[in-house]
Amino acid sequence: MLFNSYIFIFAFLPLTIVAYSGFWWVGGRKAAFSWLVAASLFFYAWWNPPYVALVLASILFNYFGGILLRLTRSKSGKPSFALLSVWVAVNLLLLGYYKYANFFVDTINYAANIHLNVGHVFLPLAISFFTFTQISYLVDTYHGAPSEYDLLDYCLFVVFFPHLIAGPIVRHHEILPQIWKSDGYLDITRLPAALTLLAFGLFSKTVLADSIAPYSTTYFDSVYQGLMPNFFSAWIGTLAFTCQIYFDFAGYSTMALGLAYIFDIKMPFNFDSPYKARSIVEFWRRWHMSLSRFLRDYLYIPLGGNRRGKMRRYINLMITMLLGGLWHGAGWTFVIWGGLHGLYLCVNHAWTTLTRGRAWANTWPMRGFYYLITFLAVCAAWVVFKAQNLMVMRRTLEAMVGLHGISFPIFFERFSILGRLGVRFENIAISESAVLWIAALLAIAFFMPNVQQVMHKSQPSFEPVKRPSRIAWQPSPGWALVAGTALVCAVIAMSSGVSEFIYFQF
Amino acid sequence: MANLDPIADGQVANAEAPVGKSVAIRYLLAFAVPLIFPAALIALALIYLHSVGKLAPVPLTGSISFNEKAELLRRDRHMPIDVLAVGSSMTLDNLDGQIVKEHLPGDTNLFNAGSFGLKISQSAHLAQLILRKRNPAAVIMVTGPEDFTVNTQSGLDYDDGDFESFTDGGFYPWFVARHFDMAYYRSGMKEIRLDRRSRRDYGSLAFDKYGGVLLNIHFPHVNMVRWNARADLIHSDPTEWDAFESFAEFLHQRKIAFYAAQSPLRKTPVNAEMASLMKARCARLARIVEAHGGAFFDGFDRCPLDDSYFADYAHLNAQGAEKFTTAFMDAIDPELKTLQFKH
Repeated sequence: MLFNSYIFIFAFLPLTIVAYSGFWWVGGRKAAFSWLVAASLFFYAWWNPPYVALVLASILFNYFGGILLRLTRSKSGKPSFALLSVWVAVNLLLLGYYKYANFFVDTINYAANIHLNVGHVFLPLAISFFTFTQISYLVDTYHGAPSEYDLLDYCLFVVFFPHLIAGPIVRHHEILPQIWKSDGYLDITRLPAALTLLAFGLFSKTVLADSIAPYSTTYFDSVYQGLMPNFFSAWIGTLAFTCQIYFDFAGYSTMALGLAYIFDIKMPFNFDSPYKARSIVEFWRRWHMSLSRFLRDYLYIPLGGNRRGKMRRYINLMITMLLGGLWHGAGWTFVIWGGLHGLYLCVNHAWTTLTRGRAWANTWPMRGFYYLITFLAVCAAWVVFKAQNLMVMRRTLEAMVGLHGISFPIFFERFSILGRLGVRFENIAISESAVLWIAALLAIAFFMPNVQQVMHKSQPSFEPVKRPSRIAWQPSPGWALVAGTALVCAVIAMSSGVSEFIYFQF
Repeated sequence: MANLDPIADGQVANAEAPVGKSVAIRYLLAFAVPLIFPAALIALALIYLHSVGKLAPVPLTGSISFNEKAELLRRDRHMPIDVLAVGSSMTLDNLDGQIVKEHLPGDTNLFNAGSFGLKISQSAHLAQLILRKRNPAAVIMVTGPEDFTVNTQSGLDYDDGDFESFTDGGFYPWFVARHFDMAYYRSGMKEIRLDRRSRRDYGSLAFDKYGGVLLNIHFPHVNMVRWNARADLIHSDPTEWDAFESFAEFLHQRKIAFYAAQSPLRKTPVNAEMASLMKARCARLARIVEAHGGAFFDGFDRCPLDDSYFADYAHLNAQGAEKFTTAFMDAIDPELKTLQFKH
């Protein structure tokens, strides 16, 4: 089920909330949480019911793994690394089989010119998210973190529908204490902030992201079908996707915060205006923050982080980002995307080391340059991320740097300076409104505060809001009208078709 | 691993309710205004238009003609059907209900379920849905060449259960809400107002009391493109023929008499090759219908009409429909006399 579908907004969510309160009244905490688990599994089953068994098996397996890890610690006084390794390996094998079997077999077939066949392995929805969530639980248990939970609470932590399908990747010690102290019943005082987050998130997805999506889809599909892109169309296609993924992910992350808050659970922030980043390091502190945190804590730091010298740090960064890229999808473009970001991070760290203590490196022209270069680097990486194959990636990047000539649509003729610079004007099938819409969306991304900054007074996450906005949401009728109007616009926009969130496929 | 417990570290934001109850209620009421106000406005407009008969039918499908017929079925849901006419606009426009009625006993009921653009398979499916709840003694189908061509149109799909529950008199506002389509209502409003009033339009939905539409269109006040068009006799779809045969078999098994007819065509656009194709086509129809105990009437051959009886190349005007239906009914009159009506 999609957050941006009528069935979710008008049936599943209201019914789940009302029944949750009803179960609390009738049967107390256990009944209410059992309902929430059942509702979350139904939410998952809407996509493909048989895979609920896989989720449940994974939960039981990891819950049992947690018990064993605690037992070995209490008996021998130290945790069993072998046990942890087996449990993590099984999780990764499961993820690897479902997500990468076809990819690896295809790669081996191509490299060795053989014809291995594993059939078509269907990727279960959200497997990357619930696997990572539970690996973090196992690793924390191994390290001795308090992790003795009731099975029902643990189930709820894993399958809670606001984060189940596309994150954020939550950690048990952040969520389970909240579940324990949850007052359960539907507290009306939480609804203003929760519904506002939901409305703004849905607006971001259905009005902003979905309106720009056709431009990127049309561009990348046409290059995939053999069209040779030109400079302008390549940039428009890329910037359209840059905007699409931004507002798509912002929308999902905001909706997840709002949905969880209805049930008195505060999620971690997952998104913090990443295009305002002045470096790639900062970009990864703002984009898919829960994944960055997971990769840092469970991969980069265990690999040694920056504690074993510069070279080892760069190697660790590359390994982490390559695997992070591969986590996104089974394809070489994702590996390259991860590798590219790994490279960016290495360059970023090297530059920081080189310019440390040099005043010129922090002057305002340089700061402007950092913003620009970071954004361009991210855009180039999005091309790799979005491209269906290496040919699309190569052609688009070539066109973006002008290797296919520099031409603009005819409506740019009014800017005579372009003509003097030798730009050609051609009949390119891109409308003025598309250009203006992309410019408007980029302006929002660059200059407007994000929803969590606006909502900082309502404290929508358990994390403090960094850089709170001067435009602050308040539970006033004016803000209610704004949020209600955003919801109406979002619902109307849904009538032209429902599209998946981009991160649903991961 | 640092920061394992943010709550213990004091990172968890103040969990106390950020707003009081009265503030929250006020906020939620204001939040609902943008949601309720346009919805209420639209609902009021729909209620008003429905009450004055200007609201387009519920968009069960993309065909306003089909939707309007579904509304008629819903309105007449308590009326027993003794003779059911199904098919495309050939049945809707070319079958004169009054003439059919004159050939039936006085207290029997006829319902014309014909609708624009239906292919044979769609007509058969619709008939089978109607027959789940109704028990007519006979089914009449007037066919034209286009009924058998490949189905290239979209928008005539519907959910059977939904259709049945609508025509059985389900809660009307629920169907309006379930199928709500602002663009349809906006464009459909003007169209439906005209179509319900006038029989001078090819798309007329000014149903007579039997559900048919007798067109009031006469040469030279015709659409010349339609007037000079030629029936497509070449691109017939085998699946439509199969559907026709299955339908005849279905009616035979249900012991429902089946009377099918080929509607007349304007002679001028029909050349010798087309005439020969028509002959073969009618012979095939006759074979199928008669093999399943029905009767077939070849209106193309046995009811030659001049141009004054046509609205276009295949649709008859009211006078044409009267002539054709009379000839059709006269031909099957002996069979009609043997019918045992169940109501």
